[in-house]
Amino acid sequence: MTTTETPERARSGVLRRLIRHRLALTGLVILVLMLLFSFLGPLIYGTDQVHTDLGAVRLPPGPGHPLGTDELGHDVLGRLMVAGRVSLIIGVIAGLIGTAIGAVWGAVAGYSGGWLDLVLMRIVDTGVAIPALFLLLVAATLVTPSVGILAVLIGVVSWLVPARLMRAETVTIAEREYIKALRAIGGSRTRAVFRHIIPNAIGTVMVNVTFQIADAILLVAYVSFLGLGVAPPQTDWGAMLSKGITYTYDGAWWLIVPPGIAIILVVAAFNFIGDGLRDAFEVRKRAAQ
Amino acid sequence: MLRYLTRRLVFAILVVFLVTVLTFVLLHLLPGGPARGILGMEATPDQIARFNQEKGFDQPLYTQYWDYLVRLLHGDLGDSYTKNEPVSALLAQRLPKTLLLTVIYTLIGIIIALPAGIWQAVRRNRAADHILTTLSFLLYATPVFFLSLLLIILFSQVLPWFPAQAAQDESLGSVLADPGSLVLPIVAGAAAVVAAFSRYMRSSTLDNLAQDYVRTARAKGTSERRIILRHVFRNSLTSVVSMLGYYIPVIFGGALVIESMFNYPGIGLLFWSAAQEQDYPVLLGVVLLIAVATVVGSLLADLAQLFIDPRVRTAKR
Amino acid sequence: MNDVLRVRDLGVRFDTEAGEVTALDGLSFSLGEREILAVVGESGSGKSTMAMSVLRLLGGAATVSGSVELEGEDVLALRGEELRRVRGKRAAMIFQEPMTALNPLQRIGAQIAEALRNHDPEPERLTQYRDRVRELLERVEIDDPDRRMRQYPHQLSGGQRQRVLIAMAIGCEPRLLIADEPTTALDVTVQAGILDLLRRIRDESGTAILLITHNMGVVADIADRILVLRAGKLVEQANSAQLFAAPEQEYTRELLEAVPLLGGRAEPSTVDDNGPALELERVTVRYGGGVKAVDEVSLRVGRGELLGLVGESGSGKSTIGGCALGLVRPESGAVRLFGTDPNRAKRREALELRRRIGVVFQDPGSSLDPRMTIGQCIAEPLLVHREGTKSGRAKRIAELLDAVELGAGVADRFPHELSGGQRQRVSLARALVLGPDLLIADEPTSALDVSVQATVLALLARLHQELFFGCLFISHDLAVVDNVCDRVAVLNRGRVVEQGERTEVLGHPSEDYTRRLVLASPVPDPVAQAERRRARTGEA
Repeated sequence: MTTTETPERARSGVLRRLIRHRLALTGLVILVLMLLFSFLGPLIYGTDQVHTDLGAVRLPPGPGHPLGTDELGHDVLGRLMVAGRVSLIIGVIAGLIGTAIGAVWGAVAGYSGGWLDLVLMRIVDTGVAIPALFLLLVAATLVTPSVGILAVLIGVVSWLVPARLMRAETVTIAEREYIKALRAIGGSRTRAVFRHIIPNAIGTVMVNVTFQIADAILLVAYVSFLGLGVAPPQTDWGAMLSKGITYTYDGAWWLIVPPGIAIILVVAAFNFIGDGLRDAFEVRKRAAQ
Repeated sequence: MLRYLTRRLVFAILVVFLVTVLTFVLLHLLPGGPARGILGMEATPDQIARFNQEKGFDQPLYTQYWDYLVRLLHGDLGDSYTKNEPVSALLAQRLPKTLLLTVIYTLIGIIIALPAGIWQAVRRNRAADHILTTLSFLLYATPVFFLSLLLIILFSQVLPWFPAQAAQDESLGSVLADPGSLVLPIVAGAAAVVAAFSRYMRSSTLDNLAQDYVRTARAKGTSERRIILRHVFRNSLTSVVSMLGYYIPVIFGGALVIESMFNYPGIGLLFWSAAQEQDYPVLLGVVLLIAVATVVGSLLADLAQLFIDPRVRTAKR
Repeated sequence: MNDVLRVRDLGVRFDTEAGEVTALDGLSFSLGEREILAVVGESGSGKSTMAMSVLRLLGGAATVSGSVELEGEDVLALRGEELRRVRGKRAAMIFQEPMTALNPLQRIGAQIAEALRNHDPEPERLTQYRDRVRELLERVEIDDPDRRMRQYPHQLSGGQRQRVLIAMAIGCEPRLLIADEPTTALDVTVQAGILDLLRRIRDESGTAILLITHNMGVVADIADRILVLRAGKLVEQANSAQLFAAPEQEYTRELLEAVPLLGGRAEPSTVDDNGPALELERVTVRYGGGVKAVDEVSLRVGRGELLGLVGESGSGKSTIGGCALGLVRPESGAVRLFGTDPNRAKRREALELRRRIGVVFQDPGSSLDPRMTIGQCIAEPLLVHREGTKSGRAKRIAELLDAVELGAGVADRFPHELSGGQRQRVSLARALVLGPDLLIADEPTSALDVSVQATVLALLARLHQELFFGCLFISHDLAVVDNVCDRVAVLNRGRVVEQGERTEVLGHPSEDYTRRLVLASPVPDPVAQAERRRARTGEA
């Protein structure tokens, strides 16, 4: 069967299928709400997140403080907003960096083949065998983590999965006849990778970015939980949780539950979107066959 | 097949070697090197120089690495800076406990995840699938420490059913003697495994259900139940098995968090406290252990593949 | 008359993304005992859909209407367990791809035993069916059944796998056997064996056979009666002899005329020697240190000459194409383009040699980058060799699109908007954009319907007349090669067994292998086909 979709329509077809995907739509809605909450929220609901207020420490939720206050007297709702900025910015940047590095690495390995492929992929194996937390630990003793540095660090340690994925995809694409035809008439490697392989793998890469961002947000939380996160007075959801743990036994649930749920919502939202994207791209791939 | 195995083995050794180089170099990149770590920030340059000379840290890096490698091959991982014990002894003491915990929760997780994934695939796009998919996504999105925290609050504080802390004794026996203390860590770990593997099993099963051999089985009158159990399940398992090999670092990452949340005296907690005390020999030892475990894990996964899949067995001679 | 299968007003609709699509519409026919009914049609005719709907294997997206009576019982009314009891017992099915139709992780014996067990009133362990499985394997003429039973599908050849599928299908002695393109994925010599086997099963057990195929030669070989389908509708229904001799419908006539005939072009070709375009001298290729894929092959394609390279799967013909294109490096021997070995030439010089060749591959689905417009696809060789200005390139693209009879209008469209035949035309345009002196065509029409194949081959012949390039034409289809080429080389297991002038090699083969190959290639004429079968089986 031949379809008469133009590429524009095909692209909007991905978008249309994404919206029809109930889970992905839910993800999109949650994500937009969380972005508004974190970035526009503080403009409407202004709070002081820099100075401590020792007169209002660990107040339970009530008038004036809908989600109570923390151990330094910061309003938890307001803190959730500024922490959200940090978590989201780091997650998105790290996810993009990791995917970009991995995609190029994997494409080069997959298309070159031979010993270069062997060496590049053994380096990936080595990276997989070293826990990312260890690398972050070493890095944290070298530099004081700021939002930017943390984003780059997490991005740099999370390129392995996309690299493997991209290699597999590249090997598949390199077998296609249009690549063989290009090689036969003397086309260069660079041309094959940048004009054919990467554009054709873009669907896979886009799906991976969403999962990668979700994983990066989780990793930020873990890093902060281990005390290696951004320095105060800045904070993120993981750091809020980690601080809150100390007061679990005092029943201060409002220090733990809100940041926990925020993480779950955002990470799940990215996963929902990624799942929907994958389905949408797969449908098109099948249609193209 | 022998050729294939040798090749895999050579790669495995190469990867372990690369890990030692990388970790060694990284640690010596630290400002002031290991000396600062041990003597602290107040140490005078004089003290540091003396320490470096004593420990051989003034030698060129490659000489030091060579010494390190030679000692490593003799099973000597160095001594802990803070615990006054050889690293190998510390690892030997902690490893069984971590293995006990991780093996149990990984097994339980997989035993739940496989049927759940199949069930979802069979009921694709029906209510049951949607609910389970959403649930597994939510579970996947839950940081293990948050889940552990919720478990502690719910089942240790609100309902005082299980202790929130493991037995602090050194021996494995004491952990086993108090199985109640294992319940919450196992639940937390298994939940993470279920979240990851049920999704994987679902998509793997869906892929297989679309294969031609399923159509052949249907055409000869095989029941749907038998198609799933006899044909699709085993085929889906091959991809899950290869995934398991790569999953070891993730399982360890989970163990690190779970052990510190429940104060469970395993490798994860050792790593955690070594990190806080900047006890580099211990950190290096744990990292090496994980690296070896990961490499051995993926080797084992390949071996398992040989048993499950006759194509691998005959093709890669 | 005792009908095994009676189909009345069968309609199938698929619920797709693009809305509802009608695959079959108002199809009625019946099939008697001992009868072989062939259903022919090109892609999209609905013939496979029809085959699937008899055993209700179409899946949830399909809506089936009408009635399908199997020995008097309406299959479309059956539910769950009732349906399972019919599948494999009253009617069984054989599929096109023996590679993927068997479970890769289960032994052959167990898979056949399962077919028996499914319909045994007292199911026991699979191992207890061993004797019956052995009998079945013997019946489908598989050598060493005891060993084969313990093997896995990947250890068998394509033809053996198809025999296993047949054994599985006849295990419960069904009255109807549905064979969906059972020989399409197989070599001609293997195909002949499978067709003989199907015929024997019909003769011995009286089984009715519903054969789905696109191959008119296969139809002529085996069918008693023929249904011609087009776009889901019945075009014509007639006895085999009658349909081939005097087709009633225009479409049937066109379909038959499009089939290339082996020996259909009587006059020998004469080509003047204008110097070599491609030479292979004692080329040997070995993959991964294993067996030789190509063994000391020497070939020569002159300028302006069309050399056909024929061989069955695994003969090494595509590897030779790869050598010529520089995609495969020979272990020993020399490959020369226009007298120079590109593997030994300097980079610049090699690039200059590559500039003078064009290539067309088999698969219209993967020969064009789906993310590029048709214009960009055709322009790529020009860009690689930095030729022409932007407007010059646009003009050249328009010229070529006219030359391949597509029209310049398609330049802005994308590959998925074109049909398979149109895409192969674009591939041809891309191959010719640099004005090559040598064209390598690796099975360029194998994935196309016969009517489309005929037009693409006609186009190739016309362009060759005009542009006079040398051509290495790789194909498994003797008839196609006979119609296109000047000279022919026959390849078997990496070796050239015979090469020479077309009418000589294919008309009067001197080698045994070539003779077998020629006799096994079915021709769309029941009378000639019967004669050839006698010659073939008499010889064996």
